[in-house]
Amino acid sequence: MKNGHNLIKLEVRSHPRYLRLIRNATYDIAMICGFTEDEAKDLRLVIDEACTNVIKHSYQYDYSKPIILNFFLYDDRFEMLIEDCGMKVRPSQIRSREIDNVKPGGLGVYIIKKLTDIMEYDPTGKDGPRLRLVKYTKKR
Amino acid sequence: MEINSREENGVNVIILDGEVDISSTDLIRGKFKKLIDEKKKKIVVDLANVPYIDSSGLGLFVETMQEMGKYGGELKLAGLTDDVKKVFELTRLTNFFSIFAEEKEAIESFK
Repeated sequence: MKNGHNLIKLEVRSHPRYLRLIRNATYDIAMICGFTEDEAKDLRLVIDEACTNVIKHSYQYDYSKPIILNFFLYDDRFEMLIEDCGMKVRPSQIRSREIDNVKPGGLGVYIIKKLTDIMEYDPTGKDGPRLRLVKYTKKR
Repeated sequence: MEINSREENGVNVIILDGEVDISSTDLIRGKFKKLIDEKKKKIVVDLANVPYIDSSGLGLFVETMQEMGKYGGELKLAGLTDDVKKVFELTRLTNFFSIFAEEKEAIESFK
């Protein structure tokens, strides 16, 4: 967290009805941090995919659990830390499908990887799994 | 999410209005399932009033297209907003679906 500034911490229930709120908050935070509109929209999609994965896989569609979102701004990057209290999976299980092998699922992780610079999943967090997503900022 | 539908020249047109994510995919899936159960072969989904879509929505369209493919049907997409089109391009699904600028063009393409 060196030189980092924790902008906002947001805790919501794992109900899909709150995804829109999460998306809009992320978009607004990214705009405040100086990202372009297109970049802010990308980050909005990234946080949606990450939280949807928590609802589907970590909480197995239990809509009553907490999702904790932390947003950090550093000199050179923007970070989003998504924490939950659900099932831990092996980091190797977090993977996207082959993009040209068209199937209904497996696109969420692909989108997250495409639109961020770093994606790190840590199943050993004190209270549960954590997903760290980093987007480097350009000189502004 | 609001869903309207009509049949025009033998084509089932589904008009979606709202954001497509996991809070709305079950509702849309129910509509598609009814048409698949009836073995409808020509479906156009009008996305002109869909400002946002995530991978749950993409997955639903892929699933529906593949189900329809089993009996020779096809789902075509029309009216994608710039933000929605960008997600299709990002995931290279523009190569998988027939996509039209206007609903009318998509309907006529089935002739």
